[in-house]
Amino acid sequence: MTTLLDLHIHDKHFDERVVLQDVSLSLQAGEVVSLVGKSGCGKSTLLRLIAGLDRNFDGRIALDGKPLQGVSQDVGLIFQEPRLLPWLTVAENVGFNRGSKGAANADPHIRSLLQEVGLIDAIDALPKHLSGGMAQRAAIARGLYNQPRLLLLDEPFSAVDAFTRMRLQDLLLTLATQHGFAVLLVTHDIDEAAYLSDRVLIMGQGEIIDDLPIELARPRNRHADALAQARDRILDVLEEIHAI
Amino acid sequence: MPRSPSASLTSYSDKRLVSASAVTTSRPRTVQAANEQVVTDQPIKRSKSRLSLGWLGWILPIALLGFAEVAAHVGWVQARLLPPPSEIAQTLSVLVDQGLFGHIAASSTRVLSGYAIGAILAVGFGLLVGLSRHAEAFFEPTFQALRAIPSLAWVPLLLLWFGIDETPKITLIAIGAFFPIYLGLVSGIRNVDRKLIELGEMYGLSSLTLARRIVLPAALPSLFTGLRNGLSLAWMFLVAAELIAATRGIGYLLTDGRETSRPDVVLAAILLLAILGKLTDSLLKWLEVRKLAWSDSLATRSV
Amino acid sequence: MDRRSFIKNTSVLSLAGLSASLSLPVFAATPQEVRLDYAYYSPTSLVLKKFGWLEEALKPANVGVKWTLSQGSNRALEYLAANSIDFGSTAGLAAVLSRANGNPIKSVYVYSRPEWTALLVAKDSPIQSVAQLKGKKIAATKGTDPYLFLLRTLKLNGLRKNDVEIVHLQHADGRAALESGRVDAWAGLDPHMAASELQANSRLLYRNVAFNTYGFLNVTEDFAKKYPDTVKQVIAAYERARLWILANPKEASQIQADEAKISLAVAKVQLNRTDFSNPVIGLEHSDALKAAAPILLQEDLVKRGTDVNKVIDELIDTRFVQGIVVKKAA
Repeated sequence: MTTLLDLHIHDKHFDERVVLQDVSLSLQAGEVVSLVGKSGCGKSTLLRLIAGLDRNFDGRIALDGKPLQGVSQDVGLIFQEPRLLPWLTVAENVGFNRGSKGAANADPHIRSLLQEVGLIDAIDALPKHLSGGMAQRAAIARGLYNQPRLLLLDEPFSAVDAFTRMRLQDLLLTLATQHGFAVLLVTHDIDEAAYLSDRVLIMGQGEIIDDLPIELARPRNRHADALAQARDRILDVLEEIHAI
Repeated sequence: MPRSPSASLTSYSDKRLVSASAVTTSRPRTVQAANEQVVTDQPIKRSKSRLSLGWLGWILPIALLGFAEVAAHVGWVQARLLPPPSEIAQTLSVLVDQGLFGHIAASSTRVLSGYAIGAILAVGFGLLVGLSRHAEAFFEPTFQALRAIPSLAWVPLLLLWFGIDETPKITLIAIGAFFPIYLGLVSGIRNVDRKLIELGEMYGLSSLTLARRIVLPAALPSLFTGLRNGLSLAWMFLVAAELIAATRGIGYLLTDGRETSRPDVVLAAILLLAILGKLTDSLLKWLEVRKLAWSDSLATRSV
Repeated sequence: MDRRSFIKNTSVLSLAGLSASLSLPVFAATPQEVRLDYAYYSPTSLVLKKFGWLEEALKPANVGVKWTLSQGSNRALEYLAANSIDFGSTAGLAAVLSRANGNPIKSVYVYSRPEWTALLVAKDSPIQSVAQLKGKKIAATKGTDPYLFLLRTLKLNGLRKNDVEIVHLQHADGRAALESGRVDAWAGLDPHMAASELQANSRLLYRNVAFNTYGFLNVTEDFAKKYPDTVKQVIAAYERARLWILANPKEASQIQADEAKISLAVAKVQLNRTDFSNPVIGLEHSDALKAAAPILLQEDLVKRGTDVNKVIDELIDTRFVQGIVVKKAA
């Protein structure tokens, strides 16, 4: 397996407050990795640094061996809220950066993406007519339009109900397998982390405390004991961190 | 058992989307499918309530006119102070013979020219101030001060500088239209959700492209509010403008009625101003509804 | 209302009516205050105001006096219509126009017979005749004697108001517009007209004393009905001022200059072309107005079908000038 992402953040601070310190991380191509930790431990900040939204840090981020300079087509970012542009249809949102080559809803690439995320019937809908789950699907389709190698997700499913969340998790896995991109997912939900990930990185106070591999075959059974055990392991580490 | 994710949608209020094939024929058996339904699904109810509300707006004007008519005939109000609507209607028909449409054309031309000039300047300055910190710091204090000056205070100054022709009139109207439009745009730009701007940054958009593709469309609702306010102010400033020695126009008719003790002419002019103001506003509103159909607000709610 | 209050109300009204007709002193036949206007085109009003003779006359009856400046007949008529003043000074024909359009006023006294309006052009103007005014801009204050003078002059030369561009500006603004070249001609009014002649060398293009329609003192119908004695007292005070002006022309010019804020020379020009000799409103004035009135119908200033002669008869009220004896000029 090739190393897709390799980073070392020496120091990242906001004013006087140090947010990340000596954080090292590497991802293999096609890996699904979760980043869990208490609020404020720096996981979202780390994601934004990788996405290129914030270039104010001391360190090094490389994709495929080449340093990342700000935003890149190879790295997509899915936010917690769908952030669809309300004046564009679903198709137009998905193809936001395609340049004007005819109607968005006729674009085969867009159509196929929407088919994959199950939104082909809503291709001409306006965001205000979509439910939370549907909007997030559209955001995912948009994130995949440029065929990124790495998809970053910042608590993407925390704003939808439990059932929708499960379906979206499955969708993510399906897409990752189909398109072959790596996933770095920030989440509060330990069950989600356990269900989705090949590895779970546990962060605390600006550094990565632990790296737990989850070696369970997919598709994973949500009711299986093995999954519950993996979940418990994560919980143990978190409790340990906060007992200190 | 893997199940391909699917979204079942019953209907949309957006007419473009309704098609039989979009409707699932099987009743949703799982809770999951039900969760994926679209929020709005009662188009028939909406159009009916739209219809019933439409004629409500006529009740008040007709009642007031009826009351005024009765009051004048019965003697509650002196006819010389408030001529009854029937007399005003007659005055209007006489005015038509005397070239009323020429007056209406003169006033409308002034309003539209002044409004156009004011709007273009307002959008220009609004973009500059909204998008540039430096421009904001430079222009804002002056504009806030200028905005406080009432229309009639400008009149003597414009008379002095530009004389008594069309120039001071159109200038005054442009001034009136400028501020609401400028404020609407600036406020719209300032209130754009930071999250959408971040999205633009993710796409690596340049500042200019970001402004054009994200900031401006997002600021459109606020801009439209400004455009409508600017239009009503333009009509108001028109009357002030036509007090500056006009020889034609509805404001001219107004002063004519005043100076020759013709309250019926005064009221006829006021009525015309109200009608023309409402007509032009309705035009803008129609445009607004079309351009802002995407907006998810109380005004555009369908249920 | 129900029977009881109806009966009560009619009884009260009958009693009041009865008392009023018997003129019982219990019901006051004097107002609390008399509100008059003063104007720079009515030298008599300025003299009266300056010496306070009306205040003097009304003090015993405890009646106050309030003065308001009228900037033209149009303003005076507006204030009368709105009942903001009881007495207003206007040109005769302007009063006719206003009354024809529903303003309930009565003309009760002639405060002057002036030649106060004419058509002026700027000193270097190429315009030599009224006919040349076709298509030009002329400043005139709507609803005043200069405006009506203009219309009658145009008619005399075969022109109608739509053949020229009449710009509505109050008298002082009209003068400024002429002198700064923004209009080609101005229907002027004294003292502004005299000032323009002397200070800016503006030229009188056309003058016609017959087209000037006197200075009328008007009172609201309501006031005349309620307080006829007070009207007589106001006229008596005006008489005092008029006679003083006749006896003291130099001093009168000085007062005019001071009050209207013009130079003495201008004031003299204005007063020289004002005739104070006959204040008794009557047939002479009624005939003059009837001769002038057709212009109101021709130029659609009054509603079509108005009987202007009837309006003039209703306007002119000779009751209050009975008893004034006019000395014929020697």
